[in-house]
Amino acid sequence: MKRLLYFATGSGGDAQEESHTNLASNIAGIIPTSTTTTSLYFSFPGERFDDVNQRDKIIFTHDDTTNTTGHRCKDISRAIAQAANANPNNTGGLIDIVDLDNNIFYGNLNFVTGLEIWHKDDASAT
Amino acid sequence: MENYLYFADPDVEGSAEGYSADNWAITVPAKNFLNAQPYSPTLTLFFFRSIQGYDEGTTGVFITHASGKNKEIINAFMACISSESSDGFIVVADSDVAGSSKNAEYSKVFNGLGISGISVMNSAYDGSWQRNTVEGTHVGAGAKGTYSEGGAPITIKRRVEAGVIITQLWIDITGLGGKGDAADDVIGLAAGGAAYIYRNIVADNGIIFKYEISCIELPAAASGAATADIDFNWNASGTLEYDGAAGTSEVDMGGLVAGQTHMVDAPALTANDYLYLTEGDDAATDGVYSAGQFLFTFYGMPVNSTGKIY
Repeated sequence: MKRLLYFATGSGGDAQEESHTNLASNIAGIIPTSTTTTSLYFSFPGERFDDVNQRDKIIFTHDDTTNTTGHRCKDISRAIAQAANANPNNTGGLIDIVDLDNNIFYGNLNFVTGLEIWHKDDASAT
Repeated sequence: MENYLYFADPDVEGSAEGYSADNWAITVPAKNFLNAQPYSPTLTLFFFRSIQGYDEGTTGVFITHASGKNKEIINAFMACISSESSDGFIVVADSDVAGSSKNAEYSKVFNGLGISGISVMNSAYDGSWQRNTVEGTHVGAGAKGTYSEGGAPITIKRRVEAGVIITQLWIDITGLGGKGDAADDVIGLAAGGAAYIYRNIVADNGIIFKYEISCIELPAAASGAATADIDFNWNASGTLEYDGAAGTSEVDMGGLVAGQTHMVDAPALTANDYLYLTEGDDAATDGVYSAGQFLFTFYGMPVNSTGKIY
């Protein structure tokens, strides 16, 4: 069964880029983009993987732990990996990663304070 | 179970670009692993499909280890990829010590192989030039503009189609300047430095029998006055700098505008000559460009290549 990961920015989830659902199998990777942001990239099956315009991106905003416990990208990566391998029978297939409309966080992700959603072909997506 | 592999530099702070000098980390699905190769006796390089889609489509991880352990490192890494973890998250190599607040963490499969560090980066770009673009060999320091929107100011890509070597040279001239007191003078950094943007290295590009120059973005000036009429000149000298006389421009673009292409179908280039941007007129006055992009497409064929054509 496919795992669908759900993200919502806290703006209502009823307009463009206020929520995003994507397949865990489309995850391209996760990187720290600043001390307080981490980005999750999704690719598309059959895409050119050297094309920067063919990615969806979720930017997590979080606290700066770079000089204490280490960058939050590791915690986010662990949670995403767990969610991507979660038993779909327990989730109905749709897995809330961060839903700021309803304050739902997967695992220990309650340190996430903000989300941005960027869709592919957005010139600023990278 | 899909494994997700985690790698981290010594002090992760994050970067949107992932240059070699950045303190970066990546998490990648194991299925996106592409290949592994020794880089030196103490360095082994692992490639994954690009996370962001930059450059040549790969993201790389260097692992530093005891000398001569390349094969053992690769073998151990393969054990990581196929290991059964409880949650799918596998810390392969985490050198992050968070300013000495935590310890580095390496997978136990590397025990005894002397891992001493890792470096994570987007593969084809090191924050200065692409890694296949060597300053002093392919481009001059004085041609290095200030463009930095996700890549170097000059990008060289090369592929082979039916035996024809196709080299694409893209340049953004932002930050370069033109003096303006005479036509055919070299455009480059006002601070100086050899300003050639390419060198005709036959062993790399073959015998160039045709090339095209496309204007992608019309040149514009940020300060002073800079001419939009940019020409090109091949020259035996590799030391011409900003405002240097390059002789009569060999390629007269005639004020090419964005979306137009000029084709040179009889270049008859001399091996190892250098290519310069030159002012097409004397209209400039100490101009510095704020925009301007060109794409060169060179078509070359190696001599005695019969056996290589497919």
